Amino acid sequence: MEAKRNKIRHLSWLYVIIAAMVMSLIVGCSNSDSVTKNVVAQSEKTNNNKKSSAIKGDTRTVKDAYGEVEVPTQASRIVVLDIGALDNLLEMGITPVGAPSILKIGDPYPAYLKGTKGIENIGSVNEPNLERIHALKPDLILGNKDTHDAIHVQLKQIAPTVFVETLGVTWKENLQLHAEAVNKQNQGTQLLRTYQDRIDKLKSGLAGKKAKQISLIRPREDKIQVYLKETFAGTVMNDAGIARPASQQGDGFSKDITEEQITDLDGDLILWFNREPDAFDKLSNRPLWSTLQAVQQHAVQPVDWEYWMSGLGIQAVNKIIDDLNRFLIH
Amino acid sequence: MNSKWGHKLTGLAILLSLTLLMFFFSILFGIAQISWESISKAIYSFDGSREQLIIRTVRFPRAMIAVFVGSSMAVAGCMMQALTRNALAGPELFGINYGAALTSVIASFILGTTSLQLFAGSSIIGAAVAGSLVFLLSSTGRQPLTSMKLVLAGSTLNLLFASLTQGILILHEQSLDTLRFWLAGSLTGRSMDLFFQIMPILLIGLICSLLMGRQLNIMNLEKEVAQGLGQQLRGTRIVCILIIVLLTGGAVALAGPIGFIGLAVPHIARLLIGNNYVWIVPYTAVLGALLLLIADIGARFVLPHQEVPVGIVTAFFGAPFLMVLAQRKGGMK
Amino acid sequence: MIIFRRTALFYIAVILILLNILLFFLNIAIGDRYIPVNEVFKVLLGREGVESNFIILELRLPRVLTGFLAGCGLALAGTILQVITRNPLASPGVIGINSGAAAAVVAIMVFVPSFSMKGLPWIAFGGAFAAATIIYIFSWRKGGMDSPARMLLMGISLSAMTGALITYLLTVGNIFRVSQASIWMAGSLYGRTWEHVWPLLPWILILFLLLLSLTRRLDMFLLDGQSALGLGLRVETWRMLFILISVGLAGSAVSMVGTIGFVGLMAPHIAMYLVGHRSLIRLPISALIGGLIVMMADLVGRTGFAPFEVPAGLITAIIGAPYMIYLLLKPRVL
Repeated sequence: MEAKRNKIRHLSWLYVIIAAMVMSLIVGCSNSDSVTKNVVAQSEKTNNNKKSSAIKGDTRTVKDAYGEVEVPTQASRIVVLDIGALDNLLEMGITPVGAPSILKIGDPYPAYLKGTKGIENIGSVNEPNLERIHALKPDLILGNKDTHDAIHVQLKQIAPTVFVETLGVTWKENLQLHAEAVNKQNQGTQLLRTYQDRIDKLKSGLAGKKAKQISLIRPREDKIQVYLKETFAGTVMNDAGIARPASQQGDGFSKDITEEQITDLDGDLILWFNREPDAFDKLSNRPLWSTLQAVQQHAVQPVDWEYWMSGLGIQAVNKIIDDLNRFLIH
Repeated sequence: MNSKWGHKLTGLAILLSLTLLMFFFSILFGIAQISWESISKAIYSFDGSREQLIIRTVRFPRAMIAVFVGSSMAVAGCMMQALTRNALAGPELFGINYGAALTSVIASFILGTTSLQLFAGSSIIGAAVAGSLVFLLSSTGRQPLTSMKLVLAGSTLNLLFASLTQGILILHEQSLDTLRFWLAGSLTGRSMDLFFQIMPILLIGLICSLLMGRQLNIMNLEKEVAQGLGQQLRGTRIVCILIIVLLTGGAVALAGPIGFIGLAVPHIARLLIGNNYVWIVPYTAVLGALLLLIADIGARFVLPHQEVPVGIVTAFFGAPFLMVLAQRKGGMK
Repeated sequence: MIIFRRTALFYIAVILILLNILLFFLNIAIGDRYIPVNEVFKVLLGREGVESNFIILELRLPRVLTGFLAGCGLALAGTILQVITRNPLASPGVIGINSGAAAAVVAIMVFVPSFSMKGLPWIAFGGAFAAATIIYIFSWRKGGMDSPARMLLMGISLSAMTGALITYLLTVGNIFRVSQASIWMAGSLYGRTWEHVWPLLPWILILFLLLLSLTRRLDMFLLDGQSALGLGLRVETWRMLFILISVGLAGSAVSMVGTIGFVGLMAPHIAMYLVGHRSLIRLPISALIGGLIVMMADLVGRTGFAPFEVPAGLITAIIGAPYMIYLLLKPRVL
């Protein structure tokens, strides 16, 4: 009897709790319903606003990694989510309102990029701060699908987004899409043409000389990374017809090797970059390292990781060509 | 000497020669092709060719590290099992591996130092701290922890240390690769200077542990008997703990947290020769070296033209061992 | 006496609900930019045209809801496991269910990049199910489990193996995929959207309701083994069903938030301490506590180390590990 009453009392407990939970759920659901409605309403509103102020120009349609996007004819507040877009936009004379640091929030932008003053830091490339992006009230966001797929939904509610497929190897397509997104197609094409001219010049400069194989490596704490053809710098060297050592012919991004494969690193010129301070010393102290031809001929050059390794845009490309000219022609 | 001695010595000799063979294989096989002749040439008529350099500066040191780390981890596990009278003890289950890793990370990122002495020192301190934490848990208080709880406490500490390591790496914005470097043990790319600094420590630890066989036996007598010898045993315990700290701290500083050698090997040794620690310790030392050599050779061939950290191999094959052990001894308290 | 207990229970429930609501609002109000509470109310009540509409409705609300739901799921799963194994140290993390789910999800993320978010709970469920099956096969004997400790050891070994497997996957995967998978694995609530809330909600809600309707069966496991056996031969069937439910709860939570550890251990404990063994009451209380822990961890991780964001999973591990050791030190556990 007692037990039964007890049970009933406990049961009433259950109802209170369930009721509370169901209530909170209902609140949650109704909110989220209103969320979508709100967002739709908002975006309609902003569209209307734009249409009403159509004197400035209508929207244009751009095709990106997700399909067609309506972007403002002349976007004025652009947020970029990677260094490639930052690089390309700056080259086309546009200063974005927000851009991320490569690694750590608040880190300075790469030194080779000029005119970054006044750009708001929005976090790291991997985890940009969505609230900061929103606070900047952008009218266009440039990102890439490979890194920012998970937050695409939220970003496109903040502003129209133009996403490139991936970074690095596709830098030419990316430049064109970026140019299209900011309505500077001609300038984009022009930049690529200039690039082609510079590559041709480099090629003809190399034509008279003995072909040099360039080895591209990143010494790290626990391994050595070999940069292959499908890297940013790899594409530029490929375009210039620069030969790579036999072990670096493969497709793909990079290959990890251990210290017994140091001999595979050899070439007529070894270019290296990294972010770890002591890793190169560790490699160069290895007895095998000094058997390399390039080492014996003092043809080992450190290059700036900011554009050789983390570069993704046209300015980085041009810096790489500068370096190649310096190393190979002069 | 009676025939039992003979059998056991023969067994040890067989294991030693197997280890030697694996040592040889470890030098012979790998991504870079090495011929038989160049091994003997590298020893007797070194001419500085690449092949011989690989043998002398890469493969040979690597095999040496495998031997020392394997032995040290295994013997440390053996000592821990004897000391705690717990079949499930081992550096990987007692938080010592990741404790050492954590202090190394603290030393290199917070103090910003890269000096080898400090690196090795901090790793040994970390091992000591984590080890003493577990031992404290196991022996103090009104109710000391049962063996099973001890394992749980240890692996929880492991998780805590791994999380703290990850946290430090996040706040210092290291790339994700760096984490893998710290938390997966590997024998490649290890600095030779560090090896030469740490080898004596490991050597001292190993020699001392070989001399401890009798004391370990006494410690594993019936509890009552052992307790009667309490005063004498305290000294033994302290020496044991010192040896364990030296062995694990040194091994982790050298190769990172390589798991399951310390847990599994003493059991295999016990399977082979029974419960006499005078024999278990040397068997464990040789078997530890042998198994880590084999795992390290395996790590070179899991992926084509690329190596995986040897810690992955030992965890993948060592963890089921723990399962089997738990199956048999799980009910033990 | 009973009346006293009732009021005590009532207050505990009310306080927990209030705490949850408080944390919920704090999570919504505090962030890169502080949003005044009255503005939060306005937005939540559906007022349009408020500045922070987007930040609240699209960024902070789905994030806090995902965290809450995942916390509930993990806590419920932990409660079930602690009851059916009669082992206060059991939890989805400790017995390897989380790592099974994680390995499956990482494999999918690395090898099938185009896989939709909506399908992830199923993948995680598969992985968690596989892990649970292995543990079940190895640690249960005929007529029940003879050693709860064995199961925990199985869990530790399984976690070590899946850990090795995950490291291997990360070694062979494409660089972008790998960094995405690593971020997910850390147990972060960064960038959670309604796309995470909606797939998670039915799993947690339906299984929770199902559980509530089965509490009488669950309580059966509180009896000692022989009496439970006396209740009929179907004990084993019920045990399997309850394990399935907890796999579903933990798996779906892990698939959406990554590995957030120790919630499934702490919440059921605190709940038992507060309201006792009866599952009917312990389950909802434990869910509330689980939600609370994850929301709190996310708030601390987000704001405590600004501008860095520390994943909620790290915070729960750093709190939870000492808690586990404290539990181990208590007599009469295990």
